[in-house]
Amino acid sequence: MIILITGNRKGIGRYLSEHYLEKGYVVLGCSRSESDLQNKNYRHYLVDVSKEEDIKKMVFEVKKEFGKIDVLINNAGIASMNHFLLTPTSIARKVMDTNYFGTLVMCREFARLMRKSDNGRIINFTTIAKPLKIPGELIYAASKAAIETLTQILAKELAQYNITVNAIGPVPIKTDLIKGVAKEKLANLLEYQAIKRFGKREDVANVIDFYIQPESNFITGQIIYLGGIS
Amino acid sequence: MKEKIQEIILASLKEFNEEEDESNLLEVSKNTILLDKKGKLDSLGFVTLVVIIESNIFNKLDKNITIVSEKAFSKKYSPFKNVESLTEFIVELVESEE
Repeated sequence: MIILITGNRKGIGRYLSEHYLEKGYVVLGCSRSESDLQNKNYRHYLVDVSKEEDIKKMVFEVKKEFGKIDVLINNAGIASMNHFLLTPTSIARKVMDTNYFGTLVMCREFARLMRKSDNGRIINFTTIAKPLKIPGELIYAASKAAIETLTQILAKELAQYNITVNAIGPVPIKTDLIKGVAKEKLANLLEYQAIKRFGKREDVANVIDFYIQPESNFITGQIIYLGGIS
Repeated sequence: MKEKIQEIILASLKEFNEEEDESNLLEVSKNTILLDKKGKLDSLGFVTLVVIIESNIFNKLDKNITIVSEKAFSKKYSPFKNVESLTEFIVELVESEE
C-alpha cells in the first residue's frame, strides 16, 4: 500500500507517517522544508501545497517512481485566529490557498493516480471549529467548511473509480497548530465536547485506519468529529 | 508525432472499453466520434477517457499534459468531437511542451 501524507514534517502528519511505516506501508510525505524522517520505505518531496506547480512536480516524480498511490491524506493546513474586523484579506487568502486549494489540487492530481488502485482512499482534515462556529476562527473554519463540501461532492464524483473520500475533524491536540491559543480558550473548547479531554494523535490514526481498511469500501462522504462533537 | 499520438489514443480507447459496460463500448478507430450529438460517449465516460489518455501520454512520451483547459474551449471547433480532431489538438499540446 502506498500512502501520501501532506504536511508531515511534524505534528500529526509526522505521527501518521511513522504509524504507517511501522505497518510496512510505503509512505510518501511532503512539506515546505526537508524532513529528517529516515526509512527505506519513505520518500520526501519539497512541496508548498498552496503552489500548484509544486504539486504537479511531485505528481510527475511519484508517477515515475511508483505509477500509483492508494491513499491520500490531506493533512497540511494552517490556522489563523483573529477577530474578523482585524483580519487582513491577504491572511484570509493565504489560509484558503493552503487549506482549501491545496486540498482541492492534491485530490484532483492524485485521484488520477488512484485509478490503478483497488481501494483508493482520500482522507481530508476538517475542524470542530466548523460545527461549533467558534468566534475568532472565521477564516480557518470557512476554509474547512469548503473542504467538507469538497469531501461530500468528491465522494459522489469519484465513486465510479472505487475511490472513497472522507474527512476527520479532530478536537484540539497539543501540536504547533494550537500553540498560540490561550489556555483558557482551550479549556472552554473542551467543555463543548461530550468527552472532555484533549485529542491524541492515536485518536486521529484510529479514524484514518478505519477509513482506509478494505472493509470500509462502502463508507464515503462521511465526516467524523472526535470527542463527541456533532 | 501525429501517428504516435493517434496510436496512443487508439490504445486508450481499448483500455477504456476494458473498464466500461458493454453498452458504453466505443469503436477503436480513427473515425470514432467522441463528444458529439452523434456519439455515444457520455460526460462521465469522457472524463474517464481523458484521464486514460493523459496517463498514457505521460507513460509513452514523458509529457504531462492537461487536455481539458481554457485553450480547448477557446477553439472555434471542439477538439473533442472525434479521434482525428483530438489527435491534432494533443499534437499541438505536446509540441508546445517541447
